[in-house]
Amino acid sequence: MNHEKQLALLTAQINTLQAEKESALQALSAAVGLGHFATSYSKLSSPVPILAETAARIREMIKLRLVAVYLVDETTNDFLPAFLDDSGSDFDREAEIAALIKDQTFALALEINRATFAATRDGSG
Amino acid sequence: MGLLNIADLKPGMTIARDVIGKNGRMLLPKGLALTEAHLRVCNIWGVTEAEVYGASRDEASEAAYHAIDPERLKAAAHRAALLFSGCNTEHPAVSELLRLRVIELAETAGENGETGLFDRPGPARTLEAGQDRLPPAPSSPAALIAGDEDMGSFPEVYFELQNALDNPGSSDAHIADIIGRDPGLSARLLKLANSPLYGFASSVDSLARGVMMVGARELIQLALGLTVIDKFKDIPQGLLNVRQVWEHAIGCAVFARILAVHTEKLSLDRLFVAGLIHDLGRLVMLKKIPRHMARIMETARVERIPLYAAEKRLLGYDHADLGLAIMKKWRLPPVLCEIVGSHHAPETVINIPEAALVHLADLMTIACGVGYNGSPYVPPLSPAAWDSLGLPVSVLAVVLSQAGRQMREMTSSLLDPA
Repeated sequence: MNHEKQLALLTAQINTLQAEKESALQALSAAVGLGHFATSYSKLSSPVPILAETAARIREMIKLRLVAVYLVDETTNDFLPAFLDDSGSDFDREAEIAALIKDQTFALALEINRATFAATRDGSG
Repeated sequence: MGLLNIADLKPGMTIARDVIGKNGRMLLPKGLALTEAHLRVCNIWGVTEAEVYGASRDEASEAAYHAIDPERLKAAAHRAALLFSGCNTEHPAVSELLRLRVIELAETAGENGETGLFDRPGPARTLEAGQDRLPPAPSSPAALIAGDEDMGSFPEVYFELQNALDNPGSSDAHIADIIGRDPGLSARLLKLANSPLYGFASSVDSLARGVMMVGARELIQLALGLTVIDKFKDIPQGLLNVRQVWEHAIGCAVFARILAVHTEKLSLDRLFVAGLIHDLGRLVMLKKIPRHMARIMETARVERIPLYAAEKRLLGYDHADLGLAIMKKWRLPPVLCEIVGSHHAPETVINIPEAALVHLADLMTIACGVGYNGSPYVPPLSPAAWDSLGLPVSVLAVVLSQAGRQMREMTSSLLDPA
């Protein structure tokens, strides 16, 4: 490899590494910030502001068509939608959630102590 | 009063004992009349069974059977009985798997190219004239792999990764750099990281990001499994369809991973990889002694015995023995070696519960007809292995339900070109 080619290769490598570093720092920053909120939870009458802030931060980490947050209703033990940010998506959220509950993929996700992902019923997303 | 599977609970039934979630959450109190909303709550929190008044598991089974066309049910029962002919169907877990399989076969007959026992590909060549003149097979696992350079060592990339993981000074970038030296492995790992198993879709576009998001330890486990797949992608066609062999392996891996969640104490990643490579020895047999394997498969089919039993009879050892020998030679982790080496005799390593779990996962994969590893019959369940897992019988239906969604995606992620 001649000097010019080596220089071009090293330059490309440096650019890639810089992009990687920025990407990693951005993700780390978002992750660290996930649990820190400007507003005190105890002073809110509704969890929606906190959930909206969380959703915005998650969107910084992962590109998502739709963000929906479900919280447990302590009287019925059901999960109910508490926040939705769908940006005009035509995704049939309730039908997908119902299917995930029916085949107990939802239960599996609750039991695995980390993020769990599932394909849609038709495999398109 | 009877204990019913979650799928058999119906609105209107009355709960006979408090239903408590696995995390201790009180879900439904005794005396409550069930509604659809209550059933949804049970499914959300992973309830697999509940006691109700005025019903029994047998009655629920009968009701399920009555809802099926009698002719289809009869045909399905016949096929399933043959499939399970080597098992003790009196065992509660086997009995439940058989029941579930009969219903599934009856409901899906004719759909999705369902491959029942009789549709499965048999050996491409039946026993030839002069078959008795087969040359003697190598007399031991060591003899079978002796002198084969390909069997001599495991790809160095895995050990480099292991060393990097053990070195506290290693960074994610360093691990990504090691993986990056193997383009095929890199592409497959990235595809897997973007699959629904992890789901960081459109985000995991580089190995360094994959290492960061999936986790180095988990990625290395996956690298091990993928490396084995790559090593055996060229086994001879004819005896078995290679893709179906790997579909069986992936099915076993998915079942093992989900069963691990239900046992609440075992490593999901280790079990996924163990499930993926549990039939490593059989792949080597198919590659190195295909004519003997044809004879073994024919023997198993004709005599209705499990394939591993036919291997043992004709060779003196089975694919689990061979897998153990190869993995030891490759210096793979000892626990993983033991799991693979004892997946047909898990009672011999009862201190390794993962072996019992892969044993059950393998059995479930064959019972459900996921892929095809050459075994025409469901291998017998080890009662000691089942007991050691401490699982309720009702978990089986739930595991089948949970696995369905993951099978297709995992197969695509691991087998389709990256």
